[in-house]
This record gives sequence, structure tokens and C-alpha cells, in this order.
Amino acid sequence: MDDFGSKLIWVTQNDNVFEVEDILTNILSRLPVKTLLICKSVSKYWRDLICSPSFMHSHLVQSQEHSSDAFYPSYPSWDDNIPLLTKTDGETTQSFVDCDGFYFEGMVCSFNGLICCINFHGPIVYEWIKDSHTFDIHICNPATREVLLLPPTPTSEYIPKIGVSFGPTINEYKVFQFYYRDEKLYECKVYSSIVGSWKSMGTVPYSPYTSSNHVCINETVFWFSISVIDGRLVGHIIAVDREENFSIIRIPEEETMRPFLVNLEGCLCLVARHGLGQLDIWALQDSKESVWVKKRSDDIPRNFNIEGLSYVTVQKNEILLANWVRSVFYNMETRTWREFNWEHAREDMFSLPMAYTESLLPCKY
Amino acid sequence: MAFTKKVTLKSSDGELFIIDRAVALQSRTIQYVLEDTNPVDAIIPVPAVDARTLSKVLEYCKKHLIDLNTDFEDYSKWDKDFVDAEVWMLYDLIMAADYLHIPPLIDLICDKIASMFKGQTPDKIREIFNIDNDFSKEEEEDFKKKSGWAFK
Repeated sequence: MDDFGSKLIWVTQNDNVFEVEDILTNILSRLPVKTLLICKSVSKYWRDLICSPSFMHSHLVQSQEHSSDAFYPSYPSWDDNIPLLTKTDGETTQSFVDCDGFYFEGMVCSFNGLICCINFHGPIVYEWIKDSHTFDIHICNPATREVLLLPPTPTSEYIPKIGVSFGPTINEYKVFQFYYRDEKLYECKVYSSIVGSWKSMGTVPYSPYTSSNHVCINETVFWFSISVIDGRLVGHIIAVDREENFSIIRIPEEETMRPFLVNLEGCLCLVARHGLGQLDIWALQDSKESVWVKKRSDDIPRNFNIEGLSYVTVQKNEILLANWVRSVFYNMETRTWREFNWEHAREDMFSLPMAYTESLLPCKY
Repeated sequence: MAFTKKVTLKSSDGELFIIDRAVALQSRTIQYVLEDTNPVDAIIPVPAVDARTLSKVLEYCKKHLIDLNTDFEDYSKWDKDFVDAEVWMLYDLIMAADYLHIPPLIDLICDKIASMFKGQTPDKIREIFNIDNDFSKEEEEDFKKKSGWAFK
């Protein structure tokens, strides 16, 4: 019997459960960020574990599996602090990002627990920034309250268009910025979290339509854009891959005017509405040839029609469709709809809701 | 070689546990031993786990084998009561579950221990779980300065 028993000879040498890395990681990765900030001061071993990239990754994965948050910044007063509200199904939590008072144009995107926002130092009149005031781009982590101000960007009369790519490691991200240079020419700059500075990528004849309608899949960023081609406005997609090469992807003829870009299980998809009553989902099959396949076409129940759709995102198996006053969820598995109720007064809202998963990720590499 | 229906486990303090093979198979460590050697009427030593802990682990394995078809609610209530134990018992259980490699039991206990951290101060966590504070006064002050808001 000793022969097979020898396989069981390994006996753990640790008397303390809390010094076995696997077990401690398993326990701590279940906790919310706020509790982890407290746990960091329990012992040096705990602190080192919680601060390690591998733990941050395990925590993020756990957080993504279990959370179903949507979130928005609100502006109850012109205060120095911007409360960021997080809503997890029934519970709303509020956190403050410690930035001095600024005009808050809004969140551009949310990725791995980090939020990218643009802020202006002066009043904005439509797309035009009065007196050529400069703007700031911040990366913030609402859960840890860390904020990173990116290095200054060129003064511009127009609001730049922004997008973020992230990966392959959890600490890496790039912020892309398109700003108007000349007639029909836009300069694109990229900030890399690893380098910590901006670099010019040269000029391109197109620019994203809005900052919020972009998505990052496998380190490639896709923006919706509208260009004048042969005297006609045509919607298309601008893609920038991990090597920072630009390309254009055409979109299905019938959806060219106002589709929203989403990531469905790692595949670039378009969510588009026909009139008020129909929702179409298209999946990109071949980016070189711009081949799209219609995955889904569903009726939108009358009471879930939302006018002036401004933002669409995916949260697990649900698609969040929002305008400035209302948000609804469409469940792709059950094909059912539900209202997303905010407890806070909608007048306070200053930005559209976004999908959000809290994480420990630092803003600075 | 015929499969045995029963398996005998021997705890670190020498107690023998005769159990159904299917119950024992929930431990991946034992599964590995059985698949590899397929012992007949043999005793498998479990040198890292004492009798008190092993009987509790086997109670979990038996319950989860029998109740595979019961509805979720029953199951979670039983689990909740199962981990409603003293801290030292949870320690022993998690070390045993880790050693015997029973993932659902590891998850259950980790979940329980994690829930005990919520809303506690670092001092309280150290007290409950008997952990030494190896930080200097300055380091502790630094924590309070940096993330004091989380302690409120």
C-alpha cells in the first residue's frame, strides 16, 4: 500500500492558511476593492500579494464574472469633487475622485475598472471650445480613487476625438486622440501607459464621429466614423491595430448612418435600430473584405423604445441602450427587455451610463 | 482488475474511514491515486488531515454526492450551515480541501472567510485570524494618509 500512498506524502509545511498564496488569492479576490484597501494594511505579505499584477488579474477576472454594474458620474453641484455613482443591481454606491474642480465633458470609456474622461478648462459652445482653451484627459480608477492626468495635449478649437486600447498585459493601455489640423486632415496622437508620453502617428483623412462610440477588441480599436464620399455622407469604421496601423472597414449598406460598435464575445458587432421598433445585430466576419453577417433581428417592445439613442454597450449577456434620460437592457439569451432604474435624480446626470467592473488596476504603469 | 466499491482512508492520527468510492472520487488527489494504481481493498493514507477534519470533509463529500439532484436552495442552506464553524475549524478544513483538492469545498470556505473580512478594521482582521502586524508605525500612518477614506 505504500506505493500508491507515496503520492500523498506531500504535506503542506505552512501552518498558517494566510501564507499559502493560492488560498489567500482565492479568498481575497472575492472581496470588493474598498475591503482590499483595508486588507493591504493587515500584513506585509498581504500587501505584497494584493499589489502584485497576478493578483490584480485574478481579482479583475472574479469581478468581471460577478459584477453587473453600470455607472455614471453625476454633478449635484459645481463642487470640487465629482461623485461617481456605481450601481450594482439593487445597490448604489458613491465614490469621489479627488480632482480639483473642472468642467467635466464626460467619460469616454470604461475598461478593466479604469475610466478615461475629458475635461475642459473653459465653457464649451457646441463642438467649439471658446477662446481655444485647452482640455485635460484623465484616467481614473473610481474604486481606488486614483487619478492620473495625462501630459498636456495640443490646444485645439475643436473637441478632440478619443479612444482607448488596452492589453496585452493588464497594466498596458493606449489613448488615441484625433484632432483637426487642416481641411479634411486630422492628426492622430497616441499616449502609451508604458512610455508615459504622447507620440504623433501622423495625419489621416478621417476622424471618429464621437469618442463614445468606440470599442477595443484584442488590442485593436474600432471607431464609428462618417465621411463624405462622392458628395454623400457614408458611415464606416476606423480601425487601429496593435502595431498602430490604420484601416477602414465598410459597414452594411442599410446600417451606415447610426450603428453602435460593441464587443460580443470577442467579435466586433454593430447594434443598429430601424425606426424605433427593430433592433439588428451584425457581426464582422472578415475585416479585410468588410464581410458582415446579421446575427439577430428583434422587435423592440413599444414601451422600451427609446428616442435619441446615444449610447450602447454590452454588460455580460445584456445590451445596454441609453439616451440622456433613460436606459434599458436587452437580454440576448432570453430576448427579454428590462428597465434600468437609477435611484438618483436624472437632472444630476452629466454623462451616459457605462458598463463598469471595479478593479485594483493602477492608472499609472 | 475489478473496481472496488469501497475505499478506505486513513487519517494522520490513524483512524480508518471506509467510504463509497464515488464519495472519495470527489477529491481529485484521491481520484489521481485510485486511477493510477486502482488498489483493491487497500488503505489510502491521508497524512495531512486528522480524523476530526477528515470526517467533516467526508460529510461534505457525501452530502454533495447524494444531493446532486436537489434544488439549489436546499443545497446552499446546507452549505451555509456547514461553514458556520469556528475559525480554527475553517483553517483545518481549507487546508484539507486544498490538500485533497476538492474545488467546490475550497470555494465554499474561501467565500465564508472572505465574508468575515467585510466591514472589519485591519486590527480586527488580525485578531480574528491570528495574524502578526509586521508594519512600522510610519507605514501604518502612510496607509491612513493614502487610503484613509476606505477605513471610514
